[in-house]
Amino acid sequence: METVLSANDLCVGYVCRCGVSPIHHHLNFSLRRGELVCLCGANGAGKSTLLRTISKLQPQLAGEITLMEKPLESYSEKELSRTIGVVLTDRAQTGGLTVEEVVSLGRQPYTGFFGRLSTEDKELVKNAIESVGMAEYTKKYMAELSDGERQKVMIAKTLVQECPVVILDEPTAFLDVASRIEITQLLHDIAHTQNRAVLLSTHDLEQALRLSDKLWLLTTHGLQTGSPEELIANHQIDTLFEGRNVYFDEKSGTFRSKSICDR
Amino acid sequence: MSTLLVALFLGNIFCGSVDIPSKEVLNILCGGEATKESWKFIILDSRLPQAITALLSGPALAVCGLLLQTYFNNPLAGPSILGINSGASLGVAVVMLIMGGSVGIGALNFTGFLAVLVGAIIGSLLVMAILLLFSSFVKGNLTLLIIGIMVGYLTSSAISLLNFFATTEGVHSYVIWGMGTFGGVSSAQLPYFSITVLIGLVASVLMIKPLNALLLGERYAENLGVNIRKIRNLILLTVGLLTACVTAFCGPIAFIGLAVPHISRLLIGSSNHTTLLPFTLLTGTVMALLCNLACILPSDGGILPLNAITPLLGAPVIIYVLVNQRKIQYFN
Repeated sequence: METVLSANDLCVGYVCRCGVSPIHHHLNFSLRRGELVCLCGANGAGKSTLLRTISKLQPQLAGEITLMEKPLESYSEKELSRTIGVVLTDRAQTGGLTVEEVVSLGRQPYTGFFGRLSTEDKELVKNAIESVGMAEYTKKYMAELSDGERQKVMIAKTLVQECPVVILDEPTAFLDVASRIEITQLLHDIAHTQNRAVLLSTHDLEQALRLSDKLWLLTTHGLQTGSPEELIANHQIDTLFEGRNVYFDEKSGTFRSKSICDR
Repeated sequence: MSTLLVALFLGNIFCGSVDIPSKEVLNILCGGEATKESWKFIILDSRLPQAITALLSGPALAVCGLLLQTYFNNPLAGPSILGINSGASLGVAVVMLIMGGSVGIGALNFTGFLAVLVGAIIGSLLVMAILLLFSSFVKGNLTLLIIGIMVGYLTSSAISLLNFFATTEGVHSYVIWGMGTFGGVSSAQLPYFSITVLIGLVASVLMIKPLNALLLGERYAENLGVNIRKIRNLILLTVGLLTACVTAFCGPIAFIGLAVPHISRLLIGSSNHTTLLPFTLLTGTVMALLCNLACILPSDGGILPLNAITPLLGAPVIIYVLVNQRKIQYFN
């Protein structure tokens, strides 16, 4: 499978008035087409920082990121908008827009000065809304949708951006179990059937273990990557919550409290 | 809406504190001779420029409100509430003081016009720069609004201090100006005023596409290929130019910028700028003409200050919107 994004010796963190504060050094990873990758880590591990750095919403501190055989830094806004599509946790003021209008915004990298949609654009928008299962909501206002449905609309928006890489920051946070399963399954299908690289951060380890092709574990030791089976077999998954009062139970495939086990 | 606009525009020309028969008005407008020379003067040098000023100021203020509401992701943003027109007022006051304290705006020639306009633009841009600075590290919409209100108070007190050094006449003309009127632009200044405002309005229409992307938030917009720095500066300049120009010549007019975008959203039921922005321009015009008409209608008592009328129309809209925000789509 074709590698679309890779990082070499990457350093991520924040640039603030007081200087540079790195969170992680020497990160190496690659992302391939047709692959669903779940990024897991404890709160504050730097998941969002890493995702924002990869999507160039935040500068990289050192090292290099290669996107489609070109350094990420060399991308113009326009080029990048056709290569990486993002779904963020930012609160948007989209309530007064219809589902169709929001998804159409994803065509902005391709449309002209006033953003007028061509017949093909409209067709793409229609197909994207169908593929996330929101066809009957096309003309509804975003305000009328549940959180899970809004998330599906934002995913449809990235689909019409026609980019090989889709990056999602906690797309299943605040969702009920049913929506979590639906969204993760949807992203899995998108990666496999549309041959895109899908990278998402999540706290939902159960879905991540079940559906992802690869897991990225972000801990204080850095980033460890591998298939879920590998990471469980060589106990790397245990490092995820090191120093906390939990352990990974291989039989059930979930983390459990150590204190209950002692009793 | 367009018919309403035409009707109101004609209303603005046909009605006024001096009764002029409709036939005479038509005659004068068509270039004919009037029975009384003073009537001709009233129509061509007072009512017509005033109506045209309203026709341009309304959409200018309304679109400023819309740009600010979208950019700051804050439904209560507006040029008056964020203190931007106070900034413009300060600029005007400084320029007037430098130029001799008591120069009435109506008497300005082109150089004077330019000086006052530049002063107002610098003042309004300064306030916008302060707001942008705060918005980069202040979390929460309410905080930014309150900072805007505080900046407004600060500039007002600076103006009061300046007035202390001005002549009585200067203070008087400043107080009159502060009440707001669309009658402050003379027919000689009207072309400059119109061109300045039209530049700002055209700029706002050109921003429709990135404005829609900004509805998703800055980071989403960036991911859709919008150059955030560029669009931010463009919004800053446009709002600065429009607010400054209107404030310098009509006084700090409240509520049109705040309320009209809400009225427009409620009427067309969408926050898509492709339709919302042109409609806001239209509603702004209608609103300004309506307010101007309300000011000149009480024919025996002279002219009411504009700022006595705009809150009457604007404040109830804002209260309605706030009370019903759970039911209104664009809030959720």
